[in-house]
Amino acid sequence: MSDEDYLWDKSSEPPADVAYLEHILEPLQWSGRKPHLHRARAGTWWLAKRPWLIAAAALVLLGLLLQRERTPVTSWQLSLAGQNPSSVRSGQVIETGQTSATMESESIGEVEIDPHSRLRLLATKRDRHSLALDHGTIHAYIWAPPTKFVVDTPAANAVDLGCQYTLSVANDGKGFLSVELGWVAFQWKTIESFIQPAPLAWVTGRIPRISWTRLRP
Amino acid sequence: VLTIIEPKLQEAALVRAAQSGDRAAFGALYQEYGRLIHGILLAHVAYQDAEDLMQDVFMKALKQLPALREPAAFAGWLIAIARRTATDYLRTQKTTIPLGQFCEERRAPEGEAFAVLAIIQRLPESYRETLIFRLVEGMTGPEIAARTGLTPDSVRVNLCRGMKLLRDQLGGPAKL
Repeated sequence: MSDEDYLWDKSSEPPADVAYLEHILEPLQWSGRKPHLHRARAGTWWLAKRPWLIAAAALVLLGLLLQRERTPVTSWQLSLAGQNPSSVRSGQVIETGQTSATMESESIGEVEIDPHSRLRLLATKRDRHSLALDHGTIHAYIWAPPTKFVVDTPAANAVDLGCQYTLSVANDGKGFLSVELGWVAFQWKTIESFIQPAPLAWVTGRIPRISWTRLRP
Repeated sequence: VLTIIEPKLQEAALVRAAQSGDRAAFGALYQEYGRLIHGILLAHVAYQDAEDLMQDVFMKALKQLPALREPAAFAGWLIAIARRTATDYLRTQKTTIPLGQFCEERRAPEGEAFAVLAIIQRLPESYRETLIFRLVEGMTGPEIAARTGLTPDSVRVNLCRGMKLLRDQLGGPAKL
């Protein structure tokens, strides 16, 4: 009954036809690609039922457009506690102080910024969206294609490879990276480290020396 | 035939965490159930559509998760969403999305794979899903039982009978 045993738990030699079927069908297997899940927004249905609200929103949008400054508006929308989302421009600096903030871009992902953090928006181009975390903590959940989202830190650049992670930078330049889903690549010039899901402490010495300390398995 | 198994405590905790908005927990559930849901979709729709429908299934799950009262029912609930999504998709007869780029490391499926998949998709549902879990997604019988809530005996029977039907359709082992 080795045929059945192999079918059941692969514990015996595979029958030739089953092995062949597994071989040709294997490319159809789930790729493991992460979904682009936008956070569910509760209560937006009522918007459609109030045309005047849409008109008011359009007016606000028009006003924002008219006030547009020279610096290009990015696709990021910044939400502070209790306030409406607003567009963010390249070069702007976000300092959260006592409160947290959330930045969201339909094409990139969502970044939650913890209190007492300083984040700068660097150039946003079609193929690369860059932020710089000077200090503080961000929680990134990225649905943009891998390598499109980059966070500069005092030590190196954290390049998203399709994932969800928390990145912290202390005032002394030491940092912490916890990859929860997917991978993150840390790059400095030609040096690159790939970090897979696991809480890791990252200690920055003089660039380019980056050492990693695993906190727990 | 369906028997709901007692979920692992860890999984119930993940479901509760995901219900309260913890996206890392939801991501973990996605990884845990990805193969299973892909297998269910593949049992009903074309390969080119299965991966895209995965997103629909988990999007619905994410939205509806807060309404799930019993974390132990998560697996069955998610499976039901996947089957309903596949059925709805077939009913609306959406245009087939062209095959996208393949992951660099993976072999592209060949015509023979699609031919075998088409034969499996014509088998009775219980056989076709179980065979796809096993032959395509690479799950073992015990894994299939644990994930679907089917009893191990049912899975074993489905595998054996399904394989026999598949061999008959393919003209016997010697033809492969």
